[in-house]
Amino acid sequence: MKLFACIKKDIRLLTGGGIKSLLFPFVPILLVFLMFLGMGSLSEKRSYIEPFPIAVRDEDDTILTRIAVNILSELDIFSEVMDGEGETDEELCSRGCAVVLSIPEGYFYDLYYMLDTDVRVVLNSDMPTEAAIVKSALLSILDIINQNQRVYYSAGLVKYGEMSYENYCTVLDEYSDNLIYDCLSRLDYFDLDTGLESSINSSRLFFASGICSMLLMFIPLCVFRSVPEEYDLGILPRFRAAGGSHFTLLVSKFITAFSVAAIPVLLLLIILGTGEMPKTLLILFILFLVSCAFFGMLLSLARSSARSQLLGIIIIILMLVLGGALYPYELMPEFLQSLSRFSLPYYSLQGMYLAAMGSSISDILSLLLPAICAGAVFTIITLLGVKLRRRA
Amino acid sequence: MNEKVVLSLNDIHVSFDGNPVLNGVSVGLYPGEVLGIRGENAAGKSTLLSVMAGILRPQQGTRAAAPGAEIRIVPQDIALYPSLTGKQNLEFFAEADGFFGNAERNRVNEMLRIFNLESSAKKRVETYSGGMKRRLNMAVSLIRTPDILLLDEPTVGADTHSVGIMLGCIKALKELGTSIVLISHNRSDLDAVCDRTVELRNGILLGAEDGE
Repeated sequence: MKLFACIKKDIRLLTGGGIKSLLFPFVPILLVFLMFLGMGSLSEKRSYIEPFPIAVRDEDDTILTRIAVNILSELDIFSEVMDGEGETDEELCSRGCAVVLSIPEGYFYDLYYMLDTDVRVVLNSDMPTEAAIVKSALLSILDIINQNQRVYYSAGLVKYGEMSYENYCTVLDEYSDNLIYDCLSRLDYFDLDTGLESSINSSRLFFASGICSMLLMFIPLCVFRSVPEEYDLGILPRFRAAGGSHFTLLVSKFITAFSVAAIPVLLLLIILGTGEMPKTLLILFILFLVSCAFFGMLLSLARSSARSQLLGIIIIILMLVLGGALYPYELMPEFLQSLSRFSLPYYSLQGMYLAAMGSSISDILSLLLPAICAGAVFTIITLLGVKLRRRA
Repeated sequence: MNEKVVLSLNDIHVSFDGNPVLNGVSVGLYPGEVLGIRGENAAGKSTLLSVMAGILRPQQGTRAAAPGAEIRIVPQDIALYPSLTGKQNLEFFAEADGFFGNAERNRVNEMLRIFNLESSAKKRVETYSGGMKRRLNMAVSLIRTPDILLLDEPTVGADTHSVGIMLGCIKALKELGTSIVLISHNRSDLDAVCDRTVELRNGILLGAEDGE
């Protein structure tokens, strides 16, 4: 019953009591939901581009070039692949083609024999984004072809020395097969649905991780903030006189923080659907323990509740920035990226990515190992701090 | 332990960092008695009270309390949650003391009435005046009527009205048979309620005086 009294008191200290106590866990969820709605649509806008037409002038006119044109017309990103025969580049561009591609005569023959070949590409300056996408894709494909040629030719030289005609044909066969597999395996890049879904899932994970990190740090800080006054104002001796113990006071704070954090975190994960719920919950529970240990240490060593709370908030903001919860840490300067490993949001984000990718528990625990070790050290310091405080 | 006393200290020695604070203190508290302890600042009064309450273990000497005696302490500090209301503070300590439901509600309301805090019950303690905080500080310790009540400077900084209420409460508890130790450096408070008063000087208890 003493534990129940302490939990009730801690919830009142956190929320002020009354109806507000019931609403408290739902406020962060509401904010997250609104934030996700707004930011989610932005991310969709960033990722989405209307399919557009291109034109192909097939001067080679072989079965291989016709297959290539057919593959192009099946790609979602192109609304239409026009036949450019008999029209000028300007005319095709004025008809809305983002790119006019001219496949020269003998292109696949040259390609097969690894001979240098020019492919003429005209970009429509009125459609810069679409033109840039196609240019980038074409350059990428041509790079693949070029590098594959070099690799196979070099490998052939190493394997056969000066190549006979038969050896040269063997190299060309291997190279052709590989080129086809390589290009086919990259067709997914042009799949709009996959790209869009991946982008949205990634932003969901980013939001979920960022908000969970905030909750996992702010709630323990807010719950544990009463530790200094309980020890210094004489509340603990009074509580002990009523048959309570300092252990009950601390355990009640842990239970309160867990209960208050669990509701919004669970709702958040359900709403955002980040996948692999059990592993994600395990990660967040471990990080919650680390957070409690850290703020427990901070507050057991602090002289006043107000100062420690201020310090705690500063630390949380720094951690959110360094850990990539507010801004992708990959885009930060390198020296800041190395500091991000000292922040809880880093482990939350990386751990949730690992869980979403279906990594094993051992991989996830390996990632979290530094945080777990730090949590153990914080716990020991907290217990020593509490002991010193009791003596004082 | 003398069977007549409810709390006794025998040859208590306490020192902090090698500095002696209590030097062989021996004192007994009789049933229904109000024992006053006075002394200058840093004389060791609060340390003596902590030993009496069993919170502080002496380096030497023995402490004995009547078996099963309920001991409550009113600390000199305002040992309350400033961000909770007066009523919420009382409710917490009532629940910690085993009161729930109607019993809790009745007891909390009774404490608010006795200490004249009903109109401020739903205000945060941090908004209370010094006297109101002192009254609530005492009320919290009396949720369960104790057998032994230890008060450490309960009236410091309180207004006359608050002091009157608190001293009146001490007298009422005495009538109910509670044994009380009152630490104060205010002679008039001690004279008003104590059966006898002892003085603590340099860690040594000096004689005894009759109270009112």
